Amino acid sequence: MEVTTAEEVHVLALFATLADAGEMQGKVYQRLQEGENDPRRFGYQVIVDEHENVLGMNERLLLGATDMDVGTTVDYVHRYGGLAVASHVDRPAFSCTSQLGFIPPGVFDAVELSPYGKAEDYADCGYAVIRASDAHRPNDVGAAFTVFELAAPTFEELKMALAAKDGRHVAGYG
Amino acid sequence: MELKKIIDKLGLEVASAAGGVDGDVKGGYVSDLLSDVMANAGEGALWVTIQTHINVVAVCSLNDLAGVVITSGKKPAAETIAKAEEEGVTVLLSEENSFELVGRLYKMGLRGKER
Repeated sequence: MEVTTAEEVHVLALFATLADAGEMQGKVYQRLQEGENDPRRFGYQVIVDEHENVLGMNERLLLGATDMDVGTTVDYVHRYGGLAVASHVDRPAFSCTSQLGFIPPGVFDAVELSPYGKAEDYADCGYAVIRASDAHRPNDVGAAFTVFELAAPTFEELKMALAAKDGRHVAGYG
Repeated sequence: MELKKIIDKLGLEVASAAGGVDGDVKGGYVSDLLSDVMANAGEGALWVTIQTHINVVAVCSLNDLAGVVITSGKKPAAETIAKAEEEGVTVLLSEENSFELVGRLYKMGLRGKER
């Protein structure tokens, strides 16, 4: 999931299981600004299953921010066994760069670039750099991607690659 | 205070007049955190910010603000203006920074308007 911190920095939270993600979701709902979504203004917040069946609507207004700062958010992601990635740090809105003016060292597991970002510009940022689509519509999924050198396509392997452990690493971008 | 009067006096550029410029401004609010504006800006307030993201329009609409002034010469994206036209939100632009602009609004008699 992508969490909006109190500073309005977007943080990607990746989990190995739905149960772990559910723990984080519970925390986010507890700390998220109150409000009900108005679909006429903000669009539908649909709940969709893997076969694209609409199961219902999420009534909670998801536009707002939580009251957790970046450090607290990342602490919770780690507590629930997840990986915390600073979202689209090359973008001028809702990124570490735009909200804080810098990428805080020693906090995240990686930083993410949007399809507009160039990995070479972030080579010295102190983090593993991934590139992803930051998709807000299904058609945008896959607009950018990252190639990893892994022994198997698992969460644990991904974690090792972001830490550049035992030969696992970020191998390229598309 | 009439929004039109503020636009004329401060020489604001009208990027979207969709929310009308004849309305009454009930006060002001300045912040660059959207969540802060959502939680605290009162109905009918004029919002002063350097934010240009499309969600600025959503926040104006949600809190029923009189409009938004984007300062420091920042230009909103085309999609932000398109959304403002669609949502009926007035978007104004100023070359001045937020401090200067708010100072002038205060001098005109406008006061902070919180929820």
